Amino acid sequence: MLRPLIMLAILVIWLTPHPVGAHAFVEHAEPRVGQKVKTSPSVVRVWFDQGLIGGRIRIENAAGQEIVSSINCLSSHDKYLLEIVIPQPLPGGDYHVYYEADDVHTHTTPGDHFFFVESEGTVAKPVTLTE
Amino acid sequence: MYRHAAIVLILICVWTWPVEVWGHGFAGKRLFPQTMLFDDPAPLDEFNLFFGQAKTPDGLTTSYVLDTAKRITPWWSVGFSQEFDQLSFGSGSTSGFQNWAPHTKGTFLVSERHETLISWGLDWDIGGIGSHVVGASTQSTLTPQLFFGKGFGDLPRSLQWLQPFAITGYVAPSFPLQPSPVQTLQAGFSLQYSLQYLNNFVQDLGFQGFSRALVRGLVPIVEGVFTSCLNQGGVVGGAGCQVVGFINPGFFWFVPHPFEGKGYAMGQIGVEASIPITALSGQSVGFTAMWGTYLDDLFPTSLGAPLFAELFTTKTRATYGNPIFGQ
Repeated sequence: MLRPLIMLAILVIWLTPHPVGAHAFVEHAEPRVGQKVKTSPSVVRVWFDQGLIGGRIRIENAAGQEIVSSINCLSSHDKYLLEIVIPQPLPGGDYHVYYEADDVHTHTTPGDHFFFVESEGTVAKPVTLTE
Repeated sequence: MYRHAAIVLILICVWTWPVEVWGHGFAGKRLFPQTMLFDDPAPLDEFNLFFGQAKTPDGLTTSYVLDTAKRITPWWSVGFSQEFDQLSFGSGSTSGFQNWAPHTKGTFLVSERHETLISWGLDWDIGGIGSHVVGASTQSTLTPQLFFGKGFGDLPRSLQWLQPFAITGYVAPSFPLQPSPVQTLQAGFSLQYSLQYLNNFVQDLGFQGFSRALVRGLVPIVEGVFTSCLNQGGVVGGAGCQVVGFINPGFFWFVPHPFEGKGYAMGQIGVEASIPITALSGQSVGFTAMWGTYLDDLFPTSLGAPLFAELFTTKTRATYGNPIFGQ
């Protein structure tokens, strides 16, 4: 009598729906990966191709000095998006974006890319994080 | 009867138990695709089908290969390979299975920062199972293997256009289990350029829509494999040792997941020309094609997950996490 119940329990657990999807890949970024922008961006965004539960972004200048970082960059309205506000207009130069994205299975995807600000300028748009 | 059914059911459930997901073939940002002439450097949950055609001294050979593997832990897999060959020659044709070949593979070195994987493998070709008319050996052979993969994402930024390059390779001496005068040595390499890597981490090429999906999944590749004897008639490098090998230029393409938001790649397809490097290897250029299924992308919480992932989760993440965030 016990054996059929154990088998049934195993089957029920096994058949319980689980979210599917794996390996969050970068979909695109803004500024784009390797892009030269004329003025400082106000927000750096990285979109992924599957849902996230969290993520971190750190931005460094060409000298390796931290410009800004956050360990809670998941957009409040878009589960595919990590974003971080640039607090002040960036001077001209190379900027290195590091990120880690935690997908719905807590699988962490690391990555990084550069973008280039051509000259010092004002923030292109008012700072708006998506809500 | 009931007991047997219960055992089978338990095995199926354990095989497909939902556990945490781990990536296939990754070292940091680098995804190493499955190559055609030899195995890739990482233990995988995979199901691969290969199809090839080549003109050999025996005639026109058409090969169909099924290769599958299952991870027991995140860094250790077991699997098997089975090949079916059709030989067409002047006076007729014949066909049959090659020997069944179970295999196992384990990774013992991973560097995310340097995009490096080094793994050991062991292939067991079980003699006498296959058909002798297609050349299946009656002898069993053990083949220990050493695999490596290295991406060049750690090159300086001044060489950023070279960062999408990666190399993989293997070396494998074969040892017949019965007394035999011939032992062989196999070696292979691949040089690949990942447009997925280029687009995601170096330079967004700006394509949109279908062309973006097409370009970002493309991996042009050249691979080669060579076999020679370790000894012939008991003599190392003895007379009669001839090199057999192929150089294969071609490409792979990571197939997008059919459901939006479920991850990028569900598998890969590939096509390569197969160029024989000696007369013994073949008489004209052949071709090879493959379909590879990433079971860990399609079934990440059941069939595609390692059986015992939870035991290794904390250690692996702590060891290989990105140090920039102090993990």
